[in-house]
Amino acid sequence: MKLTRSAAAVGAAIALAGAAAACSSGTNSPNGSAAPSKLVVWRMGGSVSSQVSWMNGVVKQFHAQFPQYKHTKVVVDWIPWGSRVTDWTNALTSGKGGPDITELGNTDTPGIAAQGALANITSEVKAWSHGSDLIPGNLANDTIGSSNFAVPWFGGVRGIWYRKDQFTKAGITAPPTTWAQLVADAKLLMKKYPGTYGLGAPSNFTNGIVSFIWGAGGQVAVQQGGKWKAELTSPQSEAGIKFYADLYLSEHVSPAKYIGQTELGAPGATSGGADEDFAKGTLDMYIDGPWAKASLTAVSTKYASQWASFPIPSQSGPNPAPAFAGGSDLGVWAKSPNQTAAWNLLSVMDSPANATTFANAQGFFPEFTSALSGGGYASNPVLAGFAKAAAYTQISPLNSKNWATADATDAIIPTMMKALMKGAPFAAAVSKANTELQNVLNTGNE
Amino acid sequence: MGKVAEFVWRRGLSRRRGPAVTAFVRRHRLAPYLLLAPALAGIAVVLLWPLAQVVVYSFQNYGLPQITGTEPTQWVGLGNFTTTFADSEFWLSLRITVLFAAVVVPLTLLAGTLVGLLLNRLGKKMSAFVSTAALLAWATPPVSASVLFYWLFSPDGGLVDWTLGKLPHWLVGSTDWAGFNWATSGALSAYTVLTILVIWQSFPFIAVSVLAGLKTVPAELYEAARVDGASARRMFWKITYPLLKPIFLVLLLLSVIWDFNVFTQTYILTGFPGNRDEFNLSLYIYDKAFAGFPPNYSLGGALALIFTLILLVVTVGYVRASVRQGALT
Amino acid sequence: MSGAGGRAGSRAVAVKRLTTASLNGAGVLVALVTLFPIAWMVSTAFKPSQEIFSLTPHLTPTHPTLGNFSEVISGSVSGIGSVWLFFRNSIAVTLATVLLASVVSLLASVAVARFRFRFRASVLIMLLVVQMIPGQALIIALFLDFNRVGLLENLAGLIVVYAAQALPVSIWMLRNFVATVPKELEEAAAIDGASARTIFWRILFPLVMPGLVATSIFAFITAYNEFIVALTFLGQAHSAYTLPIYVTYFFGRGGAQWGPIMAASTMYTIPVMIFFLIVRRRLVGGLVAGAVKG
Repeated sequence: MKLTRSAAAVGAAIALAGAAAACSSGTNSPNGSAAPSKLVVWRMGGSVSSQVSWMNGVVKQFHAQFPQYKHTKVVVDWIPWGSRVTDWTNALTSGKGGPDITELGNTDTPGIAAQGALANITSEVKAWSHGSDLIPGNLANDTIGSSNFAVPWFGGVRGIWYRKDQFTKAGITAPPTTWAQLVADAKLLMKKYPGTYGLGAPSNFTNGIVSFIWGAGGQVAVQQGGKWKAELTSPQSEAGIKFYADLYLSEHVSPAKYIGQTELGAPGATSGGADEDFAKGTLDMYIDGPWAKASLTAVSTKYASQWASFPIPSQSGPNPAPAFAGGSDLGVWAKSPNQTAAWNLLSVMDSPANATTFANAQGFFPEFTSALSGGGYASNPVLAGFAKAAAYTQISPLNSKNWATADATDAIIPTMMKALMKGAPFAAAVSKANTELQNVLNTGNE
Repeated sequence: MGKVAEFVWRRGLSRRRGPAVTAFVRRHRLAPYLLLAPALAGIAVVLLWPLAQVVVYSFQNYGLPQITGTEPTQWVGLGNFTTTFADSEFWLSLRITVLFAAVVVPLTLLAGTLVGLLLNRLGKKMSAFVSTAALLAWATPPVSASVLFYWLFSPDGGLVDWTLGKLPHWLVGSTDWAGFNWATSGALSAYTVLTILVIWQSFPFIAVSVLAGLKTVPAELYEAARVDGASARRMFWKITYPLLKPIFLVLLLLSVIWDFNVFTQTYILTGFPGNRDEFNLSLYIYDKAFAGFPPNYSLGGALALIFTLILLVVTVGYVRASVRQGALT
Repeated sequence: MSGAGGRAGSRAVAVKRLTTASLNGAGVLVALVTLFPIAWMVSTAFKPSQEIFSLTPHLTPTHPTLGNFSEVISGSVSGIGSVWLFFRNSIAVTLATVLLASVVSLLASVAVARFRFRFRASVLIMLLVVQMIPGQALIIALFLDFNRVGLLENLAGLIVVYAAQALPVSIWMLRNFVATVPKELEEAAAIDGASARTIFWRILFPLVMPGLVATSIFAFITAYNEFIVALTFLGQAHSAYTLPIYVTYFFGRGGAQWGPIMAASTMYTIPVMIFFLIVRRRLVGGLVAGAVKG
């Protein structure tokens, strides 16, 4: 803390004044009232200027709405998705160096909360005027027993990005709705645009791969009698896994360099993979969510006006494959000494107005029932396909308590997919992953 | 040296020993222990005590819930070791570690020795030039070197892929080199880059050590051999090698220890923690102890213990070689 | 006769010239291969981004720019601060480590080089063995211990670890230098009634100075390059990052911003290279003495 003694005294005085003025607000938690010199917010991914300016606006509102914090600095630390778990657990172990507020991938929340990392904010959410407007299913995802550990912030689904000009030139009149069409179109585009690849299939891409498992009618794992049963070896799941691996292996529509990469390049990196190739025009179709727009634009805006999307097709159509209902939550760090201040800032970040502005600007969907029904999502060319995909979503088992271990650290599906793409025998690799997955999901008491 | 010291020096040369010396030594009987105390304290706190604790942890279930106090610490016997030996990723990382050392150690020693021999035969200016170049590679911090090699071998705009793509197919094979992903697409390609990187960084030390050894070989020996008409190769094996053998032994053991323990370079090149099939033992341990969710210090401890025991075998060899060279006198 | 002898002589000269030429050729080749990656790093650091991703790379920048450096210095690309902050951290940690390790290892080396005492051999062997303990074996317990005493996420914790890690090798190296100082010098001084302190400071210290330089270099490298401890200890405490952690952080988050990344690693690398060149002669002698003789 670089806070000087006199600055602290001034801050405390202001905090006292503020607390006196606002003491009827009803959020008096025991370690509540002193204004912290700063609040640290952990955001996931890489810093994007539009998000920075959005946050600056939020901070301004926060200072205006809560004058007792007008000298509180808000610091945003950007955590790459690849290292988030390490960073959380290190902060948890040492009890310091952690954030006051953290963004969480919605699949992380149950596991992180189970480790005691997040503050119980049940009463805060109940008292919050917008609490009841949150999409109930998504709020339930952040609830263990009857305690609430985070609130949904934004949601999103992955679809397939393409370029309208390329489709037109290749004579593709309607986006593909089956796997066969998808591959055929990818090959057609490669033929029309020599030197490009048709459809990027990075191996380290669980949240995209699950759509292909689900799209063939398979499941990753199902709950039976209180236990998880991994389902990767079912014929339907295997069909999906094989299709995805074959995008590289036998159809050659995805380049070898995506093996071992996420959609954003090397694991831990925030750009430099399929995303960059799509933006530059050397990849014809790219699987990601609408949020990718910001980082795609950062690479190149040359083709931005032609970008559009369609849902990930299912094996034989006509409905899309279920998309993973991704998104992010916001939680108050359990060891934050500034619980009240942190919740207050969180409530400003996640106010329906701010959350909607944020979601719209970044290509997400807000998590408020009222905001969703009012949005003009279907008319936006980039968002149209994603909006369609949003009607078919699934999250289980990606919201199970041990999913963070299974995916973020043990990387079971990515490791399997990489092995397959490198030519490992299919049945053995899938069954190995299946066994591991079942073990991990059933570790501890689910 | 000041005047006093010079005076003392002169008197010292006369090798007179008086009762004063005995008194001095007696007066300072505790001196060596006092002088050693700070060093031993530091080593004990930072090196020995942690090692002892790791032994304890490795038989417990010490993890995040034990630190936060939500669950008690328990003894689990050999549980962590059986978990480790049952994990195929452990055996894969061990295999990668051993194979990597088996390739890199001989190549580094060979490259270093050849450059050392070369330096010994070059003129003064040329020798200074080459050894300065080698010194710069050696001086490059591992993090800089790793990031740099990542860039050289990057699939997007990296120089190596560009060059390989330009070369004719009969020379470099029919692989699509433009955009070849060296670092993360598999252990073989990643460790190829790591091999080049580690050799680049560590051959200078071998070269300089070999050169220093060569300087101690009397020139007359070579001249005599040359008069007898011995070939350069014969001279190396009959004169140079036997005289440098002790140095080679130490260099070999040091190299084995270093190359077994390559963490920084593998961490950066493989994009830790994304590619588990490219873990060496160092990364595997770090993953289990710190990066896994939830972190498991006991499992990491058991692994660290196994790793230490493997290296201990090499260390014993190192200590014996050093002692044989009279290091303790 | 003399003609034939002359021919043979000139052939020998020719052979010798050829040998020298091919040796020099090999030397130049080794030097170029060795220097190339460094040159590429520096060159990339001065290239504007369109040249970095140009389809035909050039060895030297066509339009050299300081833009990458100014981005690194302003801190705008990494988002966690100017490179100077991390530079200062690294230098502070390194200097403190060098100082601490030198003083402590000098004292200890006098003990093992000058005195015969009961556990001398055991201490020496212990030093040899502990320097081989892999970092992974120590980092787990160190992390937990330092966590308990609040030494994580600050530079003091790093200094303690680095200094201790440098001790075994430093003591071994210094021991050789102390041993070369004639014992008679000290004895004579003792006879003259000089105190131990006087002997140490007035006689021993000036003579082992070269050795101290060599061990300082070793401690310098240890502290300036260290990665795994800093990575584990510093976590998300950005303001305490040392240069290697900063470069890694930047590399992980920067995507493919090779210009600024290479500018940052150039700034990290060049000082240590200059330092190496300055202390070159002592470096070689010291390290060989330390590593080869034990």
